[in-house]
Amino acid sequence: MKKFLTLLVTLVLCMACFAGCKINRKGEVSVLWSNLSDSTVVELADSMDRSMYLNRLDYTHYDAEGSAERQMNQLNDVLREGATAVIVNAIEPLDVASMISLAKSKNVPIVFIESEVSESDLASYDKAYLVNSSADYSGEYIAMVKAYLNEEKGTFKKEKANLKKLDSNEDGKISVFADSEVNFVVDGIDADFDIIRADAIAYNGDVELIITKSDERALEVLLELRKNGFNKTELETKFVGLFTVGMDLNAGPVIDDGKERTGKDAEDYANKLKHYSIMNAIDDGFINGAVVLDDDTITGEICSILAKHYKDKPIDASKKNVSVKYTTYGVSIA
Amino acid sequence: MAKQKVLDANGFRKFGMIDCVAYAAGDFGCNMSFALKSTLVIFWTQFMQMGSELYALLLIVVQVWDAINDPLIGSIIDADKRKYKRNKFLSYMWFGSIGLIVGGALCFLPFPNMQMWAKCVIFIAGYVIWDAFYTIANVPYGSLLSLISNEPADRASLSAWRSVGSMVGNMVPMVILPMIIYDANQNIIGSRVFLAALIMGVLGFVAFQFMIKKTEIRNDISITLNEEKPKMNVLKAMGNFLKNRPAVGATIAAMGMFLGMQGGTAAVTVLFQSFFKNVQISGIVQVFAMLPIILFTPFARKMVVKFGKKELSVIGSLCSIVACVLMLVIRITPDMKGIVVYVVCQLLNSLGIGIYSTVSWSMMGDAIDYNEWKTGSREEGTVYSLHSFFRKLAQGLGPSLVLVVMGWLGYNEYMGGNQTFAVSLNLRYLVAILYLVSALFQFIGLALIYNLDKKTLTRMNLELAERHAKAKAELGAEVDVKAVEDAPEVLDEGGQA
Repeated sequence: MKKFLTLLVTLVLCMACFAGCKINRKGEVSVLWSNLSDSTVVELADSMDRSMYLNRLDYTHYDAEGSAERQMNQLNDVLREGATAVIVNAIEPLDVASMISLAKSKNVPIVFIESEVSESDLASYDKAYLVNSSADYSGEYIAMVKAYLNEEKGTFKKEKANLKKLDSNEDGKISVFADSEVNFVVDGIDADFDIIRADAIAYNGDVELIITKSDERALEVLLELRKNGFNKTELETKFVGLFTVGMDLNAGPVIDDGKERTGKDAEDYANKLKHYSIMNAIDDGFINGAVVLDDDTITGEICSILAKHYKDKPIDASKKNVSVKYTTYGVSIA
Repeated sequence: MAKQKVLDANGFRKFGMIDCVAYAAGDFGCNMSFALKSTLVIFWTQFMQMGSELYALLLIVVQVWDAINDPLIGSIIDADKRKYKRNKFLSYMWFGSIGLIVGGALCFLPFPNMQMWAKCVIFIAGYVIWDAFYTIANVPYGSLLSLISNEPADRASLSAWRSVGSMVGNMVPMVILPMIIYDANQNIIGSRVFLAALIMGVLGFVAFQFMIKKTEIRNDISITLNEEKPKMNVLKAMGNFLKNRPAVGATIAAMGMFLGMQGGTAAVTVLFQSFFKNVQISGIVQVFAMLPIILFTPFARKMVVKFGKKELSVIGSLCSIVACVLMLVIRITPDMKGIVVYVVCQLLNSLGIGIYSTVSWSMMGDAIDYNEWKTGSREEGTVYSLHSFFRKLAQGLGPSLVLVVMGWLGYNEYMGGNQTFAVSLNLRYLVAILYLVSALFQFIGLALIYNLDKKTLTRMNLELAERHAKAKAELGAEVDVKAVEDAPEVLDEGGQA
């Protein structure tokens, strides 16, 4: 028994020592962000942390704070300090060619994320890559609204509960308004559902479904709806369907009750408003869904390219310029 | 034709399966209420948006009430000398079960937009009311066993079935609840928690009613819930307790166990929400991690006889230490592979904890014998009371301390189940470190402080048995002498003694 215990303790101590001998590869990949005050960029950075960890890559974030000059300086510095790969969220498209030249001179792979990069710039260096979200999210947007309207609920008898909920005047039709930029959504659902196209939003329940072009616009609409007594609680019967693109905006104004508060109460409430996002508004049912960047797939693609590079594995030509489809939040699409 | 009741020699329904199932239903009913306790921290910080530090403070307040609540309600029940139609304890359980229909739900009133002071009042009031009804139902339940049957075999069956009821009452909500109270984005749905609490309250009520209806009281003796204790000098008692090495060792080990088990609840939930992004399976993972101890329990007695309690517990704690070090050093990735690694580590860890927990109370019994061996005095009540006090302290302080540490590591309750990856990675390490500290406490308490190994325990028991036999013999001789002295004079025919 004593021998067994001694062996066990020794094993444990060895493992602990081994853990302490981890090789520090910090800073191997340099990630140059345009502006970490931008919530879209922050979300991408957070997703990058996850993907880097999954792929066992060590990295350092850099924030250019919106300055193209600072970003170029950062690139020069990291390449001089020996970065073995660089990821750039380029601020200025005109700087891209110079960035690629710099990376090429050090034989370091450079991956652009959510940046404007021309085909010719990409082609100038075999280790230059581009991973962007697709410019076209129309398919995802239409699929999201369709999925919401088609969703069947019910314990014993299944029915299209959302469709029924939207049809507040129970005429069997859904009155839809869409911003002109996203009118394609109405075209997309036209064949499948009995819809009436509205020319303007009437905040009196006449319009039963609103399709917006951006989270900023969705927030404006939502605030107006709530002023008129709609979409105030999750279980509210006065409800107008609302969809958007993107969810990076702060949605605190939606829930701000305007009451006077003092001391810790005021501090806590301010915190709550500060962290209340469009995502929270969707979780609470005030907005039904959003078409959003698929951050995890974007950063996953980048990390997979770099992981192959580090293992000297060939990188498929299709990875030179990757276009990642949008995903949705609030409503799942197959 | 109506089924004839089989009666025993005293005219009561013969003890059988129905008694066991009914008794099990009681603990099932208790756990329908208790199982939600682990959800409190996530509900109040993430859904109700109460700051972590404020919640930690309020938790300490209600835990203090928790410590007072048991003996207080025990005394009230003891002081009640009224005659009850069936049985006093069953009547109190009936009353407690009614309160528990809504008692649990009172802790989960979904009003996140209330003023903070109102939230504090509701939290404290809800917890106190729930705790009171739970105690009214649970405390008499424990004593009911001795009223159902006098036979040791029957009592052993009831005890075993109680564990079954407890296990089912614990495991079923543990598995099902995370699947229904969290949305696809790992956020807690407050209204569903409230509804779940109400449904579980009703289920608990039904279970209690079944238990009350089917319980046959065969042994209607008067039982006192709170033993009358002589007045205790707290400082002296503490001093004596600290001199009792086995008691101190076993207490430190128990405190460590609860620190990990109770303290880690919030951190583990956020780990599954934000790191693994799969809080729905957290319940299944926890149940799965309990498997080793369920498999070990039938062999516990044999292992104790062969190796000794201290030796076995030390191996258990080392097992936990190895598991926790592995959890700390092995790369656990935020995907299914990482979950598998985490589960394997937890299986090993829970085996270690479980080995100790099966013998923990009997180790306290040995600590009391040790006191008698060394000082001639048992001080049973004092030793158990102080041990229970420190256990409750760990149960109470653990979650609060961990919540504060989580705050230091960046946990932001306003972000709900979507903490940043950096914060979720911190919590991944916090969980491992927490369990490691817990295991180290156990090791220190059991290996370095608790000094009753198998050899010493055997020697102690032998010497105590000799002392008891000697004392009995002396008492017998004294009685004989006294009997002769006290006996009336027997005179012969001549009037001589």
